[in-house]
Amino acid sequence: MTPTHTEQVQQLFVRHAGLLGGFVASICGDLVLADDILQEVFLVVSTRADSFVIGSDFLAWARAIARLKTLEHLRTRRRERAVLSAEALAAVETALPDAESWQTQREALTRCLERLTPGQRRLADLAYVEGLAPQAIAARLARAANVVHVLLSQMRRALRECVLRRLRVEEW
Amino acid sequence: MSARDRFLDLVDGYFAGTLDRAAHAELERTLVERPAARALFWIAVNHDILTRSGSAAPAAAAVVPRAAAAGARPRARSWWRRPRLLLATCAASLLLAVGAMLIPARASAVKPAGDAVIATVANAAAASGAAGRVRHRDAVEEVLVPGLALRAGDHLEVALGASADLQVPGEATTFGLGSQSTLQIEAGATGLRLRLAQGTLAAVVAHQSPGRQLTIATAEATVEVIGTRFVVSAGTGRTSVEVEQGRVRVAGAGASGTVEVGAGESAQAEAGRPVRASSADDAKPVAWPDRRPLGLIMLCAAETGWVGNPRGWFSDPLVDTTTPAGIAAFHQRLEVMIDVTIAHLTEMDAQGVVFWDLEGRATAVSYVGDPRQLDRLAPEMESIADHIFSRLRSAGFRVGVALRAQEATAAGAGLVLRPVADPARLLQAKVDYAQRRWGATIFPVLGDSGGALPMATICRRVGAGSPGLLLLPSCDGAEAYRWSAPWQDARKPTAPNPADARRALPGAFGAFAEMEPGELARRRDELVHAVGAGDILAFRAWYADPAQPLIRAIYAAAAAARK
Repeated sequence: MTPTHTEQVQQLFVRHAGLLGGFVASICGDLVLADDILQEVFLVVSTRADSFVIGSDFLAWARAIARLKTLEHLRTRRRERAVLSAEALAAVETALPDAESWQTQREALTRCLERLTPGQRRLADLAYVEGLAPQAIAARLARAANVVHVLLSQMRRALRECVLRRLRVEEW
Repeated sequence: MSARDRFLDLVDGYFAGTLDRAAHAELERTLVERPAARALFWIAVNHDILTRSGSAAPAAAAVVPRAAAAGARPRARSWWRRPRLLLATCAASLLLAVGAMLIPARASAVKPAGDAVIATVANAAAASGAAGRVRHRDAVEEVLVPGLALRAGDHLEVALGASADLQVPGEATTFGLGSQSTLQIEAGATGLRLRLAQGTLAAVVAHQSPGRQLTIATAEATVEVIGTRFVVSAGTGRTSVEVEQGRVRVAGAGASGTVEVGAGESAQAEAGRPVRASSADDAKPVAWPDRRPLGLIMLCAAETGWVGNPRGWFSDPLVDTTTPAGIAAFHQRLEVMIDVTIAHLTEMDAQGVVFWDLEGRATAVSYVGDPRQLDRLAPEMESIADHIFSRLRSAGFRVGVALRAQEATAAGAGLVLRPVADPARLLQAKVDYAQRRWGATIFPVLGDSGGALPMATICRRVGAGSPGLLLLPSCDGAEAYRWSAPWQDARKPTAPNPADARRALPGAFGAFAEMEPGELARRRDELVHAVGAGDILAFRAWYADPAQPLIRAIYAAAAAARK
């Protein structure tokens, strides 16, 4: 079955959803709110699919929608936290990765997850696969909650170091 | 700590909402002044999206630990941030619509050792209350929630009106479970085996590796699949399999044979009968012998903003649903309205009546189309709805409610319509709810699905899974006449009209929306012919609409013409 034009646009959205989500989050400074906004962006992308020409720059088109939707949220909702200034946002947007670079970053994380110690792998499973809260992880592993907090923090830091090494991000 | 690590902690703190003013200014300054920081910012965003759980507190000394941040919101992990749980809400709707091959590569590479996780709950939705429960093989019971890991031996029950999506880790395979579905998870030597005791399971199955096969078993049949997209419905001694893409093999229980079913085809299995396949060539219109007129109840004015009557009941600003005395008066008025409606339905020899705006019309969404949310959206109606429908049914009339194949969700003070992963499953959940609670059998389906699935496909899945109900969708396409009686509204014409549809599908019929007396008079001959051919006319039943005698006359003329 050949996908309709709208479905093709929606496919593009799914392909770029992670990057668009990151973009929205960078503006609103809230990963949870970004999730809600991204769903609205999806709706707008779907309803305005006719105005997008397949083959042109989807990310640029969708980013414009995402920016408008996010700013609309920030205007109409009471702000719960500080967001980046227009100047800082403009600066980070100049370095926005393309879809390929975004994927490369994700693959780096995948490889790094594989390189964790068995204990850290188990923690990553519980935290990221099963989505357990620290208290639940503590109960599952029969460890104290504050110990689990520390272990999670260490595991996350190890992941970060590994990702930075793989992506050859140098020290400043 | 290096300047780089300090910056990364600031980014962490930004997304955690825990930076103080000085730290926030430091972050902004670094971004503006250091090009290297901008590139690193995106790496950090990507990393945060993939790995942040509610647990990992930022490590920097200058950043307040999240747990201590005043007013910090709980951080539920969301679908686009989770390596393994990419399917939910709008993304899931999209992915189901466009096919499994498009599911993006996930970052997940973490495989649990030993007691393998066979699937995770990617999404669990209920209009109110729990979406269901899982009984693990060690007899521990849990509420069905996103993120729950499922293993062999686990038993899932989806609640009435709820739904759940399951994701198989490491492959692009998903299962959507509909309202009141019961599923047992098993792992065999040659692959995953699911046992669907009842309900609906919509599967998107990635191609299985050689030697492995996914099997879905019901009481009446076993479906073997290598890689495809299909829907299995089981219950009341009957199993139906609808294939949207690819090919599956359906083996009837016992010695009732085996059929292979391809895209656009379906198979039915019943105890004691040979399993049989059917295709579009076997087209028949929906089975609904009663073509008498259909009454409508539409009580509300839209978006009135009336303080005492925000949902616009009786289009009367004096109605007050905010006080006990006001609600009592409202209920009394409803009782009188039902008396009047029953009298008109009787006089019109109507087959039944449909409540169009049961949830009121407080918001811009207009008709909500989700009776599962009645308690939240219109508590004054919730408390009397059972009684109202009971009275109508006791008087001998079928009942129904208007539904939508989109989800009405809260947005600020109002509601918005959102497309969902599987609109057929959502509609089925609403149908199940209204059937179970009120014995409803007639369902206008308002609007569209938001693009996730054609309405005809939605009607096919809901209609095929629930015989004995009449769907009245507003949609185009001849295919819809096989599974429903498309709603004919001159203000929003659809194609083909019933007369044209009957040329390709004899016996097809539609339902005509309520009309003004002038329009009925002008279209009299056309409508006499339509009624004679089996179409249904709807009328306003809650008051003495001058259109009623004209409709009676049209039915009488059609009956006379038949003689």
